[in-house]
Amino acid sequence: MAVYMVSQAEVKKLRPRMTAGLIFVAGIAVVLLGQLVLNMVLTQDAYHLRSLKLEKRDLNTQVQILQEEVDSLASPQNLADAANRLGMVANPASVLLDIENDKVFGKPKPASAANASWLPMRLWEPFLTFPRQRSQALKCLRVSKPRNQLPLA
Amino acid sequence: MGKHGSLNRRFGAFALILVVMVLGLGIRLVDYQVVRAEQIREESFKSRSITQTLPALRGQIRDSSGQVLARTVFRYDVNAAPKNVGSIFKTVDGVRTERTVEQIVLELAPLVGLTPEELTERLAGDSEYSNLAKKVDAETYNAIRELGIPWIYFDPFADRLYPNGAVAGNVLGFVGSDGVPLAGLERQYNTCLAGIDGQETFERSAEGVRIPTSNVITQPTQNGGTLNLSIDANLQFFAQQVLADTVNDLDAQWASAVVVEVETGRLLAAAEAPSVDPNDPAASDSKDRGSKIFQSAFEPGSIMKSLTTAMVLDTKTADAYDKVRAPDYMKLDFAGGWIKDSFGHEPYNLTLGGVLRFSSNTGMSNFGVKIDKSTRHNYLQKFGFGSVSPLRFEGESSGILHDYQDWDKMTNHATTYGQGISVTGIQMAYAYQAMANDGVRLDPILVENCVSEDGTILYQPKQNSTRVLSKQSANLNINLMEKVVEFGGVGQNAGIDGYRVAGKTGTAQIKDGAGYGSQFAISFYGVAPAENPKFVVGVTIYKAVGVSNSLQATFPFKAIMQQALKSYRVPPSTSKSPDLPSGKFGEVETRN
Repeated sequence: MAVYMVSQAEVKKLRPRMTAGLIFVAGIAVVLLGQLVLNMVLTQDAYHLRSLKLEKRDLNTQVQILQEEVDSLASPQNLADAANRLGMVANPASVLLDIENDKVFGKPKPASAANASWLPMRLWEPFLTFPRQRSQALKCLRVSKPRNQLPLA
Repeated sequence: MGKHGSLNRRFGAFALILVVMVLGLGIRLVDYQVVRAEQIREESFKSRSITQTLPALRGQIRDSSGQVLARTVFRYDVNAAPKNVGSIFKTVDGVRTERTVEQIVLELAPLVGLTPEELTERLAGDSEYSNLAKKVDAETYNAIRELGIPWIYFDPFADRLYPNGAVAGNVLGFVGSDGVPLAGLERQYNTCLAGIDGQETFERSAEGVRIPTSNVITQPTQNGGTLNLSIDANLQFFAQQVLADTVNDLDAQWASAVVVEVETGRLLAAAEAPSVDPNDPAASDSKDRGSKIFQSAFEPGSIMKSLTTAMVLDTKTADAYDKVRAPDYMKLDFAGGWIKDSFGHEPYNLTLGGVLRFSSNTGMSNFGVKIDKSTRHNYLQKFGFGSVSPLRFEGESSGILHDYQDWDKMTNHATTYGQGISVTGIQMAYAYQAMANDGVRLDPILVENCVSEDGTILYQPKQNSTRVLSKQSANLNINLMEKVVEFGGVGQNAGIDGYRVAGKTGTAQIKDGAGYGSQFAISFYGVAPAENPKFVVGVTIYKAVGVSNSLQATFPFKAIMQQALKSYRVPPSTSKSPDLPSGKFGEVETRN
């Protein structure tokens, strides 16, 4: 390593130019600013992602609640009970129509308590276990009815 | 020059120090960046990263129409941190409101199923954890969350829900609170239902916010497959309901009913009473948590006679017109050997049809023993007795079919009318399926398949078929069984308006120690429509109090068969059964 002695004129020539310096500083500023903006966007997205995830979780919960309700309402015991409460009686007589040949299979009979194949459609306790906190319809189901008074067919 | 020399020396010293320092930093740099780089990176990653198990959801179990019989749902344990319990302050439009702990307790108590006093007690103290409620459903969870209590937190976990309650509970089985399957199909098909837990690693910032794009799935989650059953939930429910009534009315120990689709061998219903509710297995007696249809063997009694008549026809030992002597009591050709009919009567001369219609033990034995033991044993094996069904239901019984060489003289006679052999409900149902299906027994189908989330079939059973009888003898035998329902004193009650029904009653005394006791297993097994059988329905009622004949089994049979015919839209019969002799002296009986 060595130290050189230089003249005033040479010093002037070697002095860095103002514009170059400005460009350099501005460049750094732009890069930093860009980084900051990018960072902000990314962070924002992370928060957005998190809020969407929470929303998804809530919606999943909602779906589950509805699904459970649909399952229970669609269960055969619920349908049977709902039909019973509307006073419906199953008709054991099978009657089928053959449209092509214009024929009726079986003898049509009106449904009545007297000819039902199996009447006492009281729902048995094991069929009545639904998870807690159900719709009103299901809460009614939990009220155990006394043994049906109708005779066996 | 001296001035320059001193300057140069000082500068040299400065440069040396600089070089030493840079070198020091360099070494440090290499140490951090190269030598210990791996270790440091790992430590830093560890402090940022979180590894999480992504639990696989257990698959659904569905019935033949796609109705969900078992599904996985989320349940929540509700916990509080008593240490942080306090009033909640809220500022709305510049007005600061306070909800005191007392107010919150009043709102929260009904949701967690506690009285306000109990809840207050659980919130007391300054621990970090106090459980308030276990296993609340999503609706309650949402309701509690809406209260916005900062010191309440939730532990979610996957749980099993059986939305139809006890419907098919006996075959579905159930899952323990830890998610481990404990019984039934849940356990048997666990490999397919359980799925594979996944694992994920991600990084998060100091505030706990997940750093985007940082997650790496180290093990993909594979949710469990869907198990599709042949069971028809509606028919299953109907049958269970009928049996529950029957057991209640007759004060019986249990009752079972099986519905088989003849042409496919699919099991449409396997109903029992009492039956376990898989949502709450603890509520059932431990002996009622399984499936008796598969697990309990019983002496079948007279329902076996229609199988013996089929053997007689198939071996051409006799035809539908040949007769044998059938007294109500008959001494056998060895000491202490005798056979009795269930009712006293003058000596009859019965055809095979007559034997079934009067359910005569003596007549059956006289026909049956004409076939040698080994042939009959062979038929019984082909009908499926003495071995577990290909379903291999857990704990399935094979029943007892002794080797024919071990049959003593009495057993030789008794097996023709269903004693000295024990069977399960599933075996008997498929023996009847063989007769109804032109003599070909199909392997039972209970699980149709197991399908993964992406639709790949993970499991599908192979169905084999066994020819047991010739088509001709199978069909003729069904015609003989029709006489039971047309003319039989008890069998008539199994008749269904508009349909030709063939079947057989059965009353078997239950062995009580060495001899037979005073309790019975009564059955009715039958098929309809007889001219082109669609369904086998088999009903067995075990130890009904004070019931010693099979009449009570015909009512549930009729109800369930009628329901099956109706719900599958089977057109009523348009023909009549052929005129075959079934009278006391081998005459053709006339219909009224």
